[in-house]
Amino acid sequence: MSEATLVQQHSTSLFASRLLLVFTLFFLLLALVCRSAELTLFCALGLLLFVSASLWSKRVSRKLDICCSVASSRVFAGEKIELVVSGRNSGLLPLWLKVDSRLNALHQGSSEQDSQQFWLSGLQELSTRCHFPVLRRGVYSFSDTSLLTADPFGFYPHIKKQVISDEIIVFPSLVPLAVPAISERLFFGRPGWRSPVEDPIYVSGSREYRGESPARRINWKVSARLNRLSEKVCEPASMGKVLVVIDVEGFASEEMNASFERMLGLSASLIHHFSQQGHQLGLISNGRMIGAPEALVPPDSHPDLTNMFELLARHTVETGPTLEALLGRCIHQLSGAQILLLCLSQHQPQTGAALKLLKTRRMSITLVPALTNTETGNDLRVIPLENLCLE
Amino acid sequence: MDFSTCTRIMDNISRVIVGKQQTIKQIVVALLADGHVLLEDVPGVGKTMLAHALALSIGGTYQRIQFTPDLLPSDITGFNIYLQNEGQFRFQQGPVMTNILLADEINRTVPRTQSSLLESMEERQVTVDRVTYKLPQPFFVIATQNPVELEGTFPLPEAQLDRFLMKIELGYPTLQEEVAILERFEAQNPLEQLSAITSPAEVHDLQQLRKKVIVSQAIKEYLAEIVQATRNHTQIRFGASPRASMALMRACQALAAVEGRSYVIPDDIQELLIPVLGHRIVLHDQAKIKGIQINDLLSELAGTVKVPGMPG
Repeated sequence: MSEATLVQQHSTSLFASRLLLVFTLFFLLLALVCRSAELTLFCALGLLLFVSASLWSKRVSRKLDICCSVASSRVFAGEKIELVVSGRNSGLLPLWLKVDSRLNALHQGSSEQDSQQFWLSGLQELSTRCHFPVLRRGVYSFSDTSLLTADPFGFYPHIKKQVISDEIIVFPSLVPLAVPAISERLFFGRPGWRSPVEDPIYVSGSREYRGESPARRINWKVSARLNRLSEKVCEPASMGKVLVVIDVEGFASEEMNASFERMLGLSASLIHHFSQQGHQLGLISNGRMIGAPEALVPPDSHPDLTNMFELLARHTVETGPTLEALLGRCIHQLSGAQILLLCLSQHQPQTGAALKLLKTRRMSITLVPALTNTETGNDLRVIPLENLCLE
Repeated sequence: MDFSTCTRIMDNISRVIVGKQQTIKQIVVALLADGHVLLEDVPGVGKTMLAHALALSIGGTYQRIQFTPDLLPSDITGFNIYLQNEGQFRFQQGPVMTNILLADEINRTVPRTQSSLLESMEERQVTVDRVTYKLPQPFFVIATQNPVELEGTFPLPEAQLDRFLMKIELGYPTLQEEVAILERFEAQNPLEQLSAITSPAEVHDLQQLRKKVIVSQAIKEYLAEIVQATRNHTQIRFGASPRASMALMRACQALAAVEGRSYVIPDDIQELLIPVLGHRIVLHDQAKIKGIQINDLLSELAGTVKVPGMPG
């Protein structure tokens, strides 16, 4: 939770405007000159009301201790962001409080506003939450959060500006997907290859020997004890290695915005799925990030999912460093990786360059284009984004 | 009820372990509650020394198993060996037949071997070739795991984690504690001078006596409400089990006894909530991605449940 910084301002309502005060004073003077007791009393009462309201407002404003913080700075799209407002009126005078908060999406220019009003009696504490439903992933921040305190008549409101410096990350929501099959590799060599070290290597138990198993698997000690042939059963040692590559080129137009968001949602779902399977995972994107230098996460057996989801949330449709350059920086870590290349189509220049680089390294590539009319190459596995995304 | 022996055990351990009073107290609480402890911390902070000091303090037997990927269940439980001259099998007992067992780096071995400890931890017995052997009393497992290194490790399955009464983190010593450690270990190892101040039989009696610590109906309801809250929270996938409720109650009784009380108070539950329930709760994937910490969640949950005796 983040503390907020207070910036106090004074605001005047229509009733307490200087013009009205001047008029009241003028009528008071007129009443005194004309010796009208009723008008004098009325104007004097009016002035008394203004002065007492002004003093009341100043006093209660000083006696109000308030703090705004964000309950959780990381949420998924479709969830709600909670702004926690807690405070205490440490004075004896009651006050009127209005909380105005605005949530801005940094990359979309859109904003949502919420307003709540409270009546706080003397020494009363306040704890409330303002909810902002967020439907789109992205980076959000609160701006123009103001606390309006005033006397009971609302004549002299005081505005306390709150600066909440926290950025709120909204992850793309997970979508149901048709999981693409990926090839798994063994720790020692590749499936089907002969290796000096047997893979898997860890013996997990023994069972009765079956004729089709190689004789080297026979566990002679167990066989001797049980007086029948037994073979070793090994722990599974295979592991997948997946690299999700995102090319944002071509998505800049307005009509492709939905496809772009869908592609990011699919990327998040793929990352989540493969992490559950225990695969090594990496993420590379040529998109420009809000508040992060670049999206380059080489495949790792214990991926930092929070970081990868955060990068997806920070994505913009603008291009940053080229895919070729990013891939080149971690190419030595991509051995045996299955590449899932999400793009608009294979004809985009950066996609083409990335495909060329990966093909020279003889990597297994699955192209996931957003456009369905992408041609299927002879040596390229193509699964349209629509086929993977079941939503 | 006289539990002054517990204080003497803690003082005795403190002659070797500098600082870490809270950890030492939690270890003694776990011993008194007849549970087991999982110590999660980086190497070199004194996990092994703590276990050894406890074993020496209670005068029991102590065994250490270094868990490695090739360790087999029979390496822990023991196995039957064929004696050729006698023409029969004889049981060769494993290191599990001890009072204090240090399972060092338990997550380095495969789940099958980890699971071989299940029966001994829960039922205080081992079964080899259909013959059951009772373990000595008290039987206390202190397992350690390194949270930093993840390569080549096998995370403990939920069933195994549930068997541990507490999961405790030691943490690095402070500057003053570090200096005190250097001074204490400058000339000799204080572990060599440590002598037993009680006996396994007396510890076993204290474990029986602990059961007489009073847990009022209101406290039981408070405890159950907290455990129920873990099952209904939107961020939690698997809440605490009934075994966890019982473990928390046992631990609270032990804590009350160690602190010289014959009854449990809500503060006991709040103090032990994170070490007892923290490792038994599984968060939803989305909560993990959001970076939500179980400890924070438990503290938040404890705040939502009405404390008995407090005005609404």
